[in-house]
Amino acid sequence: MKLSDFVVPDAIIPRLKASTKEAAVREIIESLQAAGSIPAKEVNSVVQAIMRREELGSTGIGHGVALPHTRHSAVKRPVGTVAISEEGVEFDAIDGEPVYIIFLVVSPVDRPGDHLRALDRASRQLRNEMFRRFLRQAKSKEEILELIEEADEQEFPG
Amino acid sequence: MHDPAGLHIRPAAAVAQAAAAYASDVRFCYGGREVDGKSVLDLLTLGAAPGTTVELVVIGADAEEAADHIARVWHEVLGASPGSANDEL
Repeated sequence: MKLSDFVVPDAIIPRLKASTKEAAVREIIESLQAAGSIPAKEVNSVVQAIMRREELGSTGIGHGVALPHTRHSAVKRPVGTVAISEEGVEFDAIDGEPVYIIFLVVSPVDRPGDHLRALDRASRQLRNEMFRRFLRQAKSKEEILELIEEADEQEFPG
Repeated sequence: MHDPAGLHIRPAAAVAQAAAAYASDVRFCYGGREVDGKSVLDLLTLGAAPGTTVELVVIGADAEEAADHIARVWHEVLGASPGSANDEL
């Protein structure tokens, strides 16, 4: 699975406004809704599902990266997107540092394998320091999309 | 390595947090690759298949204690209930 298989380009957020975890998750889910990937009536439920997962342990996994995620009946295929925060989001990350890159994934309930592959793909690419740096420097949806497509082609070593 | 689909975020975070508590350098080796045991992203990409053996290398002043503790956490989070990890990654 490639990043571009599940990243919804219209939902990419180059400048996240939120500074707290729940507000950030909500802003991203609303962006996926605006892009037509999540029904409006399911927004609250998806946000809650992601926050419930966060209660089990933060997906803020260090290096300024978070991978919030859930499986939910609101989607028929894995959908996700990227949000970049200039100021950083307080995400209870395991290293205690703010998060600047949020890669959010929502998958259908009945496809745990796809969900795992999407998260695996995202974590593999995000392990590359250059990919993280370029994402943080990107100023537009187009630039971020270009980086994602480049990452898909090159498969950053790791 | 008992996890059916590789190392998930929660167990990886638990192992990395256990490793980070020590001054020693902590590395996990598998399939000719070596990753930083204090990095969740590194652990997530270790790519170890279920049922295989992963090598733990700890170097430093507190290495002995660190190796014991990290190995215990690894077994606790990965050996507990194979097959259940897909529910909450």
